[in-house]
Amino acid sequence: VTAKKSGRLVTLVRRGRRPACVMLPGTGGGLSMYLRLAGHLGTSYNVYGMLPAGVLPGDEPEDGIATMAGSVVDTLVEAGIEPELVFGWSFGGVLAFEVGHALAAAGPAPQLVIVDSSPLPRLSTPDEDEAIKDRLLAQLGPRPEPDVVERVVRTFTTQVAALSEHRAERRYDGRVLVQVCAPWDDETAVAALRRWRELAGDLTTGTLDAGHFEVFELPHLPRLISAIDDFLAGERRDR
Amino acid sequence: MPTINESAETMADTVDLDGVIARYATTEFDDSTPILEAGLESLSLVRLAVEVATDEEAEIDATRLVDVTTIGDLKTWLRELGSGSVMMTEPNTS
Repeated sequence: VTAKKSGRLVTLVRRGRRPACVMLPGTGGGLSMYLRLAGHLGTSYNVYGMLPAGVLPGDEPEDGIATMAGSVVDTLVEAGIEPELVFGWSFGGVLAFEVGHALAAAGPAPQLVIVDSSPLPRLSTPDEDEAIKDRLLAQLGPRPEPDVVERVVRTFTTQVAALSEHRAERRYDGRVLVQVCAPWDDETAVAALRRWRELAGDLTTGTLDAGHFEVFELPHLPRLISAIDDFLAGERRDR
Repeated sequence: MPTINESAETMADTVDLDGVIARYATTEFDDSTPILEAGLESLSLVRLAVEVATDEEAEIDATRLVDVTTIGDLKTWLRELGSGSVMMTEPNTS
């Protein structure tokens, strides 16, 4: 992994001049769960991960999805990267939709791949938030640096607050793939998909057998990859 | 002027990988220590790799980090990163 010295943009796969894909992580900013998928996307794209503001030393978390999306785009512009594909899972998918809008305002609309994200405000409970936070901290291993723990928790807290306040409002004209994890027939998932349909004019949807946190694990990843490949092949056919 | 291979060897040889890793590890380690046991999570690995990979135009495949479990694996990968010889391979997802 290399990142620009300024920090947040992490090169996951780079091989000469090719179209760019940017991957936006879930809450907490961990990119490790994206690595296998990045490897697959990296056969066609140069792939970059974008750490959230707040997780690197000396960095402060940002408030609000709009601010976060703006700083993602600023970082990409600074690096001279115009992604043709923006990927996001969970919190990253919510952010990807707004990043897509911001990029489309200044250039071609990137394709968006959104996995198990909702355009509606997130109704969180303290217990659920605590469980997610514990899961994030477990990924840091048994002996994490205390500073890292503090920064991840602080960033997670601002991201959760942002999700609870955010409602996607603007219609997106680019191509969008939304994949929904199991259980996809519960009230929250159905409402989210209904709203995605209202917001995205060129929308492809699909469901995955995996749960929210299992979708990148080896038994489940091939199905997600297959859905993404079919989506991207459709774009190539339309050219 | 050195050849590409000579330059790569020089870069890899001049980086004190144990010293760089020690700045991010939270406990003592040797090559057999699992990276998480050493206190190295993905954010630390990002910062660590930035120190080692000085060529901003080199080919990179960080997806190989999936297979890095020990300090020894990490050092091998960092040596390849530092030399710009990291190969493109698609991780096995089947």
